[in-house]
Amino acid sequence: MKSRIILFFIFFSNLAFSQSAILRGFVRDSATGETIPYATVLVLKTDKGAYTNVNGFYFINNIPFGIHEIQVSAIGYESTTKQIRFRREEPINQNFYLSPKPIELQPITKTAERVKEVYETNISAQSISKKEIDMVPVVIQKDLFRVIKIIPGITSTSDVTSQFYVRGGGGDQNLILLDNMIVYNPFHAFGLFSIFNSDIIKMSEILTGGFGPEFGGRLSSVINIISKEGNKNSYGGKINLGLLSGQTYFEGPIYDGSFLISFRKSYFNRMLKKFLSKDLPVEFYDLNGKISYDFTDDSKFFFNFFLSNDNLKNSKISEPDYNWKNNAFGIEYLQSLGDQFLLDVSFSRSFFNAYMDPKGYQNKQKSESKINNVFFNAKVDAFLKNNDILSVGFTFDLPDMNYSLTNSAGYYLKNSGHISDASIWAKYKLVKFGPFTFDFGFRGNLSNILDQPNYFLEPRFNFKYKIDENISIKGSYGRYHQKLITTSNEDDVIPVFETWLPIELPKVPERSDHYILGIDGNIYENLVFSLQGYYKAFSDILGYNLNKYDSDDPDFSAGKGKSYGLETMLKFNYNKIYSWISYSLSCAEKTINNITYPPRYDKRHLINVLLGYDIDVDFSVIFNWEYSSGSPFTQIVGYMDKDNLTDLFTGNYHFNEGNTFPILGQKNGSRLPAYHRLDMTISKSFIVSDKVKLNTEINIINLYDRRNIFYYNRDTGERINMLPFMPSFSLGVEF
Amino acid sequence: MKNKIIIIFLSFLILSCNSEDFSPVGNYEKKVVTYLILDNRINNQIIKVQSDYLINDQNTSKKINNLNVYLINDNNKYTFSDTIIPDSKNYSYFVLRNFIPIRGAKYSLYISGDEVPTATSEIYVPPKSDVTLYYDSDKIQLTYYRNRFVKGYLHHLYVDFYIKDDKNNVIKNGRVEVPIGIEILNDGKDTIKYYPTLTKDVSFNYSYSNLFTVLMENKPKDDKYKLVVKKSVATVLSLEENLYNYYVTVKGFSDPYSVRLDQINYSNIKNGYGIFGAITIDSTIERIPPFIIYGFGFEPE
Repeated sequence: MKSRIILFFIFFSNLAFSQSAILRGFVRDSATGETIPYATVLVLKTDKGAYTNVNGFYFINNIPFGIHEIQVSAIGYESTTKQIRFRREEPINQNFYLSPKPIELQPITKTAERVKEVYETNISAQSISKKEIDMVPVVIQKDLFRVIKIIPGITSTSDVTSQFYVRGGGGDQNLILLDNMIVYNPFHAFGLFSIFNSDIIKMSEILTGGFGPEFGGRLSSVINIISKEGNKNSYGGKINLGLLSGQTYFEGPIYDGSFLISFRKSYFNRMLKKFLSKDLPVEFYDLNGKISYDFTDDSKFFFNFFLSNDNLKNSKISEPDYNWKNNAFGIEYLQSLGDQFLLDVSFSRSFFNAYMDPKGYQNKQKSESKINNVFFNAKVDAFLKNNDILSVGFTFDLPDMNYSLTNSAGYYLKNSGHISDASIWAKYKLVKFGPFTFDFGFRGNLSNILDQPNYFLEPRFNFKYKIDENISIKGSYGRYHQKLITTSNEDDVIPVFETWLPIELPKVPERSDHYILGIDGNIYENLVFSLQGYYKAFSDILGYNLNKYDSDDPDFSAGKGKSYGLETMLKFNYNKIYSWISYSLSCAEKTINNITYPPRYDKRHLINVLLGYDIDVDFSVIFNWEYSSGSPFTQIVGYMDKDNLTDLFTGNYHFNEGNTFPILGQKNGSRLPAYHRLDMTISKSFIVSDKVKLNTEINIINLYDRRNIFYYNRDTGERINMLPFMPSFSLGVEF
Repeated sequence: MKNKIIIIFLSFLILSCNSEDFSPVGNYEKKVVTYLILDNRINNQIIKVQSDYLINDQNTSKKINNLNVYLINDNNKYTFSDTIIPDSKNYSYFVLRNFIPIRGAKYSLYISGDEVPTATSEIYVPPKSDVTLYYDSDKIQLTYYRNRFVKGYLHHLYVDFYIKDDKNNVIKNGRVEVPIGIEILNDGKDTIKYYPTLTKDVSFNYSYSNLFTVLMENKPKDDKYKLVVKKSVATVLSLEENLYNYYVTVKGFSDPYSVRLDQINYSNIKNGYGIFGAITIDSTIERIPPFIIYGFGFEPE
């Protein structure tokens, strides 16, 4: 075994140390100094080139000696070319600065091209920039989590929640990272918004399946959000006032670095009451910040933090108060090591705290759910002589959970749990192997070696086969485990209060296997498409144990599930019109307690049409139409007066009148009516001066006032609809 | 042309239906909801019956007319008779008079009528459970048999006593239950007593200190009165399996550590809802050894 390890290192050492020239560095925005992800760096008249990673870093190996033209380009920037002489084997550090240009047309198609290039082998990867977030009509505020629902395979159960479900997976199966900090419950106001202020987002990677071994701990998807670093050259900012909240951010240079800070606060709670027809006296704020510092040309340091808080104070004594807090801070360090290695180390602490306070009503006590997490992540990319990339890394994820609640027995329960997850991973990416490109790797959970050896290894594999220059076939396979779940009353319409729980022995972690096959590319110059099919198998997934009768029986029982579907997406532009059309045909089911049923988020058809028209350079109108088949729900088939058998033991139980109790039919055996909605945004910008720009926006939600059902109150018989026709406007100043 | 396409597209959407009727209620079927617990503590067995119903629907009623309700055991048929007592708006009550269920016997319940499908169910009445009470040197041991068809037990230990005056006249008779635990609060000023709850265990040890504490609480303060201990009585209630399942699910699984917030609708009624179960009581009487009573400072009878 020892000799094999030595051979392994000798093999990669030989690959890593070559006799050819190396070019590496960062690509930055010349106006702000921000690094640019996914920029193209090409050595002209050779087949050498690379793309920058999410940190704007690129690395090109094996460049022949001589004088070469290096061309650098990125979407939204003027291309630049520089002549460099290569005559030594030492790596040349070269940073490039690109000048931004306005993106008036074709933003979506270009973005798709960029994504395709970056994620060469994973067809289920998308990226969304700030620009794209701004394009989509919104409910009251711009929000990343609303935008991602345009991506096929992602759905939600209502207008008034940003909670999302990916390809038949549960809402707790999505890993959400902000600058390498884990975020557990990233929602404001029952999920009406995410806690991420869209102004600070530089890039988001949305991985709906088949994600690589660098990510773990969740079964369904990864949302990896990279925030902006801040302007390194000058001070600037933005103030935006909408109907519900105000937000501002400020950025500027500091010594050899930059800072960015943003703040958002709600101030108009009555809007929610008016439009949701529900008293939601909720207030929230969030604060995001980032400091970046360049030690040298090839080392960077970041300090990130965010604070968010939601308060819901009910005036009625019978309605509980709620509070949610999400706080986190983290540091990240990037360093080029030697000639061909890039080190990325991060450490973060995340805190989530939610409580529900019944204010002593009916002698109920406060329910609370807390997570205190330590997350350490380190990875090294080795850029090998043959242009392949070997990445290795390890993570420590140490969540501490504390929860207390009054359970259905009326007992006040206080408990805690802890998970120590240490994982190692490796990925080898073969850049060229004929028309094939593929990467393969694994993720191993070290803590599982001791307690659950069968659940140690998670293989991951992606491949791409280029049919021609424009069209590729891609496929992915991956295995994933999850040891942390949320629990709430499955009959709740909106799970207002969820408790995070560890899955502890003798139960095994939940598992999913992703199988994805698809084809994507550019059919024409202005038409990008993708078509993919997926099959996802779930095992050991937990649900309420319906055969629990007393304290000896476990709360949860393990089951299995599957989801499968076809997804297609078209992105095109023609003259001043651009569009993004997605369609998903999907099916999901779970089998728990020997009952097979579709989960609430199983929607057979999902259609999303985004249509934009640029009337002028700073004047545009955008429509977004969404259709989805009805969600499954459980019908009531009647009511009964349920006898609680009070005084059974004294013998005086015969004449209890009982309490009204709904009799439910087959679990999720029926479907709500189909959902559809048309939204519109008209935006116009005014240049006030060289440095000041005024942005105005009119949003109309549910243009034709479709009455989409949200839920039915079983106690009162009341039907609650989702958002009605709802105009809003916002005014912003950019400086 | 492009603008026309957009206008046509929008017109189509705007003219599309903007609301769809939706009913959360599935196919309602009138069925029996019933509660019958065969109980050997009483000699008149009472069953209550109603129909499931729809809220806000005038066409559904909780009452079912012309029902036949009967039990069958070993080809013997026992028919419940209708009664108007008590006056309930929710249930109809039927009674089977002078009937004590046979221990260990199987009973089948039938409820039939023109308006509802015949509801059936069957159970086994808990067999006799021999209760043993033993006064050990340091504890009081209560044991009973674990029976088939029984899933839960509730036991109690009582002590009967009387108070006499200095002329040996009985002033007062009393019975006190021995707790399974006593928590002392506020430096002994207050106490919280814990009594047995439903359990699957078939044995339990009581402590002498708890017995002593409750007897002391009943001891007269005036020395001319004395407390005389007569006997101890142990009772065990046995819950048939279906009744146990129903009872614990309506009580939140009786699980102090559960994170569940739901309530399972357990029923063993075919073509209906509710519960058909059985509860039986067994008991034993035991004299407390005199040396123990003397040791506490009381008198044995």
